Amino acid sequence: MKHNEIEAKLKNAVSNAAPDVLENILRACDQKKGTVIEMEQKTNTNKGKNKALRVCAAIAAAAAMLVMGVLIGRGSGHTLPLYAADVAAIISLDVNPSVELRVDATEKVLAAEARNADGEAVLAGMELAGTQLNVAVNAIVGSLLKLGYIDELANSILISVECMDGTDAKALESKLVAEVEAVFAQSPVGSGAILSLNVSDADDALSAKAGEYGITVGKAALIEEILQGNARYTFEELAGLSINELNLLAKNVSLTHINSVGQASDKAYIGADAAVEAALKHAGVARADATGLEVELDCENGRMVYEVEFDAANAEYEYDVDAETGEIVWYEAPGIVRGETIGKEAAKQAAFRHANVKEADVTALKVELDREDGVPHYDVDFHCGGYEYDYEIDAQTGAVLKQEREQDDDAGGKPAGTPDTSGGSLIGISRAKEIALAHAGLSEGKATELKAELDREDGRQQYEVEFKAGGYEYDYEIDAQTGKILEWDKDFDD
Amino acid sequence: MLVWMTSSIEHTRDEMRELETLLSRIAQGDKEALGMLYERTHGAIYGFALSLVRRPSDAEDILQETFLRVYAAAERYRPEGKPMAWMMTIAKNLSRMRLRDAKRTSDLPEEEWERYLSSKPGVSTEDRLLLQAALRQLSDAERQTVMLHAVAGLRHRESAALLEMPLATVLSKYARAVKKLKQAMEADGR
Repeated sequence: MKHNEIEAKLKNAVSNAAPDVLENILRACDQKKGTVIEMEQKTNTNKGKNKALRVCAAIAAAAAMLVMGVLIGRGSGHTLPLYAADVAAIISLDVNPSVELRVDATEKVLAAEARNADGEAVLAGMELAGTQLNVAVNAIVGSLLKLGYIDELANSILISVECMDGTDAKALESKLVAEVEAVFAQSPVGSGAILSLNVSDADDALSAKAGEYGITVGKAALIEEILQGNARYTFEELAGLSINELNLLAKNVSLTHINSVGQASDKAYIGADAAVEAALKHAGVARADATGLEVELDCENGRMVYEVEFDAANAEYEYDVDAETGEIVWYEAPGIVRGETIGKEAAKQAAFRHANVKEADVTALKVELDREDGVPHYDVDFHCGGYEYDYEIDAQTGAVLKQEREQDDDAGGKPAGTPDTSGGSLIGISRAKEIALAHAGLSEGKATELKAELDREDGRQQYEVEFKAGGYEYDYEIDAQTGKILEWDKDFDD
Repeated sequence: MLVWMTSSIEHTRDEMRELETLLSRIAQGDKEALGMLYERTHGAIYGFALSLVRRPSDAEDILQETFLRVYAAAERYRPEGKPMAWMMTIAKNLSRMRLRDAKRTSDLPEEEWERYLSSKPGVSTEDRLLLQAALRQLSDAERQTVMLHAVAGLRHRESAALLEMPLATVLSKYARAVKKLKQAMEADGR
């Protein structure tokens, strides 16, 4: 079966299984939108038997609560030119959702616009045009909290203010910070970490950068400041981080133009202590023997890690520990592979324990020590109960580094022990690659991410060859005996 | 000369424009347009919601709530050619909220799913097999990527943005997901 058949079948299956709730939706929406208060009252007296109606009322009630103020005009934000005559200031609120408010000289909101898809969700159902700025900020921060974009795990928000002539940016910035602090104080999160800055005088280069990465000028400015303090990062990797992650990284540098209030939460992470523990354990060094211990939250290729450094026995150790999982991502440690591995038996048992299988039920067991790439580990492969398991077990700690379970190729439709058709010899992986590349009209040097594996389909052995070239992704299935191309596909590599 | 096959499952620009036209009609309160949008997209939204919340009853609620939100918020939609991604973002956020404050029933999603499918006469044996494989054998991320691309027609790049995953991760999750589903089907002799 081809991949696109699977895709089509799945689409069809989901569509057949989907419930039909259109009537409920239409009934709930019969209550004309905009008359939110009325709708709420209606459901109250209706006892709200209908689920959709209740949902609609809940949304309406939330919207009514958030809007509070007077509704003026239609407020279709995006029709307002960016710098319309009466715009006195542009305020951006960044978390990961990004929202922009434009206000006039009396701080009345002229338009509220989302700057990314999450921002759309935050603004969904809110009518902010015509409200006062403080009301709008309250509503937006309230929505950010309600939707879980801000919580105790990630509590940072960035406020950037751009003022037109004659408006006091400093005063507006302080007022907004106080406003947001007050919303935090009333929320379950308690205290937030608020970064704020005035971007009225931002230079064109910064604005261009912001435009290029689709982020606000404020966020671009924050990234630039972090980059100045730590040249190892790239703008690109930081642009993908949330404000909370950037705020955590900003702790290691001194911010010059950005004001910072409160502490960014690192509760989503394992914590410096746990990271040190993980590194020491991996290095086989007792805490008491480690000197010059340093740990810092850091970013590696867009991934948050703890960078742990220490000395022991006249050698330097350096680790990157994944901040969320505690996994050792990278390390430089002398003499780490000293043969003091846990041994094949222990590695195998660790895998069995994790897979929750009995050794007696396991077949085709293979255990191999791999010191070549990354952390020294045992590759433990076996079959059990119709599945093929593939484990990597840390050779020093016995921790499960990687695990895969796949339905066994031999399981299911075909009786066990179906003789495979491999009477003759196989053409081999490199020949399979050659055939695929030749068919695609490419030399091996032109292809990247070239992968090939022997697979069995319908009792026939075949090579699956995949590679990328010239913006396309190629996928071949080649008969392992005859070298015949059974199936192939060329697709945009997006 | 090579003939390349773009995956026809991705939405074309024209289709997206049509959805945007529907959204602008919905913004004017046009319920017929809401019905048309529903017809064309409810499977995709349901599939994605299911991939996040797993329970059919929760997914049904998300489906309903998403359209109510779309109806309420259509006028805020900015025509940038990504109406599906916009709707999926709404569905994602609603699902997140649901997962956060869901009161847990003692049933496993699988059991509820089993009951639900057997109550749907339109679901064929093959449909059931695929859906159960999607639910049981795929990881959450695999299930999400396959629902977004194969069922909702999002580009991988859009899925990556929506799921907040690197593009490379989405691509490999997707490839694995399709491979596993393929194996599940073949194991069943199909």
